[in-house]
Amino acid sequence: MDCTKIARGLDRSMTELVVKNLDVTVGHRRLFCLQDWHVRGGQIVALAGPNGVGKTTLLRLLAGLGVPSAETITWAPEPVPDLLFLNALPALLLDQSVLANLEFATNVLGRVVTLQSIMNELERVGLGGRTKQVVRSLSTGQKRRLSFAALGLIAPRVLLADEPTNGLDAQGRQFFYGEIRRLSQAGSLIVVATHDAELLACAHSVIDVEALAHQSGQSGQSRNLVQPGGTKGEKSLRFL
Amino acid sequence: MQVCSGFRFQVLTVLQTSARSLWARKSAWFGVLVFGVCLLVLFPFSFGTDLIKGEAVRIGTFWMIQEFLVALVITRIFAHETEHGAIELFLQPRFSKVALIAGKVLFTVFQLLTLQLPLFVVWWALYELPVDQTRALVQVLLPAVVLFDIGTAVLGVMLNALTARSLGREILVPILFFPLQIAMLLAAVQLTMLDPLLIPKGGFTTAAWWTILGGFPVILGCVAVLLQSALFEE
Repeated sequence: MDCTKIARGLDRSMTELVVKNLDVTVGHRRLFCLQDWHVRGGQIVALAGPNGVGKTTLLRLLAGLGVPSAETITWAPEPVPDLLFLNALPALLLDQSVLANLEFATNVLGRVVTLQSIMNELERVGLGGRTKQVVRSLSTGQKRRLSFAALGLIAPRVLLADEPTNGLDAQGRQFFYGEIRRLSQAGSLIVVATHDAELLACAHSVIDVEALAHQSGQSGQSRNLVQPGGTKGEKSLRFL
Repeated sequence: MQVCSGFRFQVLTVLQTSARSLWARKSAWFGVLVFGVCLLVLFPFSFGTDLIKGEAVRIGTFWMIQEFLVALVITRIFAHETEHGAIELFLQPRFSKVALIAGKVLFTVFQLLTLQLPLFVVWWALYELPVDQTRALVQVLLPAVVLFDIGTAVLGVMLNALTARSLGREILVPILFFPLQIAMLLAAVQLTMLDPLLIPKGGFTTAAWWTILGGFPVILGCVAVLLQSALFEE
């Protein structure tokens, strides 16, 4: 078995995502074209826009869960050693315990974690003492917190998250904002699709997917519309 | 924390996850077993107790029950993982699809064997198999059942993976599965007939039937590996 100790502080900031002329489609319907997008580790990028505009489809393409039209998505390093995709509905095995789910999530990404680190992480996300509880019996917010425990254990180089704060209370949302800031400072690249204004404010840049769709519809091509992050109201459209 | 990225580790992860899912739903496994036992008990009533002592009926009944088990098992190979999207963790580019296929094939074979073993004992007792013939039968039945299970599992996993995101999966899998599996079933039935004169073999020798039973898993396994990029596609 190929097991090596993780090098702490592995140069995550060298992670790079380059997207060129990516057609985002659902079936035969073209949603938009992402013409030129370049982002590095340490960045938090938010995808904003109304429902059905193509945010999730884009995230799935980036996660390798869809087939892009051509060689339009390039990751460095390729393939990314630890990319975590948090679905809008947390990807969980409902009939298994909290502990089994965390072992599953970490093992799939090639990690072997100790029981103690799992217990510590569960305590941190507010699920302490629920190690043996069957996931089906958890509330929506608790399931979300469980996926945050996996996030904390894996500390991925790339995090792609679809509506990660849905179903969470204020405390849970603040926890997630803190987590992505911490990961970003450690050099991880984070892309989130969200409607959450506070999460948008956490982002270093915001891609307005609706504007992309609008432009693609008008001209068949598009420029990327990126809003720099910061507080609400400070954002202004910047054309690349 | 350690990083373990080997193929074997990934196969073990699939096996562990599947075993835990089976344990979590052990009542479903038990239900399939009870269903098999009920069929074994019901057949003598429909055929008559004298008729079931005939070898063709005895062996035929055994394999018919296997087909019922297979139908119940193969349609749910990825059921636990797809229920709440956990399958997507397996489908991330870093995780080998071949490891996923291999893990699921091994687990499906294990699951079928755990059902077949107790059913064999019930079948042996209910159908009054002569003790002096039992050893000879087991010598043929054991490898035939294992090869049949491997071929069935490979085919089942491949078809489930191909149709995992299809809306008509529940219908598509059996429609595609049984025509492809029939050759393995025929070979298994022919090989386990103790009386070689009982059923005409259509010119096939025993070696030819073994070749079919052993060759199908290899061919289907190669097809599954070659098709891996198309598996789980939407």
